[in-house]
Amino acid sequence: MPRPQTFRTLLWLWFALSLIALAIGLRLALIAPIDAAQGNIGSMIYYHVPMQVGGLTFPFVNLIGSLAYLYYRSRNLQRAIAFDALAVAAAEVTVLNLSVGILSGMLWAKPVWGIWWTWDERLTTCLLLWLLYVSYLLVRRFSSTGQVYTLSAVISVFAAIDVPIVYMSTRWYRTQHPSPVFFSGNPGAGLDKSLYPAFFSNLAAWLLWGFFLIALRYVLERRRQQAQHAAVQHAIATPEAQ
Amino acid sequence: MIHLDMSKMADRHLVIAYAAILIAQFGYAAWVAYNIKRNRPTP
Repeated sequence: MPRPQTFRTLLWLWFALSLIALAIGLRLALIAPIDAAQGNIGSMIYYHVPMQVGGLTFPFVNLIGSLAYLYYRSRNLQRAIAFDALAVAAAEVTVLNLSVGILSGMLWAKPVWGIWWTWDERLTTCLLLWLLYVSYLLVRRFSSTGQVYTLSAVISVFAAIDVPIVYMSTRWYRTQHPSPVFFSGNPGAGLDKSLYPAFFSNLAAWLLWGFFLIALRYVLERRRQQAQHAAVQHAIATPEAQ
Repeated sequence: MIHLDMSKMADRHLVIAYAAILIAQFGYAAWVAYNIKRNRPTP
């Protein structure tokens, strides 16, 4: 683990780099060619897709944190709760990304499809994923069993199963949602090369920003854990008024 | 290059979505940063 000062410097650098990348992404999105069929709303691809890619990537960070917690909880408790902090940070950023991803998808759907929502496989499995991570956070917030870390780690494992289902849904089923643009195996599919700079710069920038948010939230969770630990130590050390 | 026409629903939706994303992402970052300050360990 890096020392706190080094970690703080890295975090600030990461923050600055993310902002620069987001500014470049916005600039490229503004000057990119306009989609002939959809018009300006086609530019939603530069924001909706990165949100959803983040929403399907960060659950793996949550899964790694949860599995590591389950592995270390009886071997090295300090390490285990550090991984738990990583898991909760990733879960929150997942919910954030999926929330704005779903919302932007609905705002895109209305002018293009004529409807806000449809219960096709992609949209439904994505909503289910959002609900799973919301329930993960609710369990952490309101459970009073004393086994909340273990319970949430197990929920995380089940929630992660939905990620490949969301990803594959447009390949397995004929959906209202467009079929995959990349890695589809269909020679007719794909993004026009003139849109690559705007698309990939925004994708990279929002992922960079997302990982920054996870790191920032991790710092907060570690502080809360340390404060909780200090409070317990203080309670043990303080003689009760008897 | 984008030229927005706010009388069109599609363009309004694009602006609303972008604003929602910025508010959510930066608002969340600000909330986390505020709580990190609030939970600063006391010497």
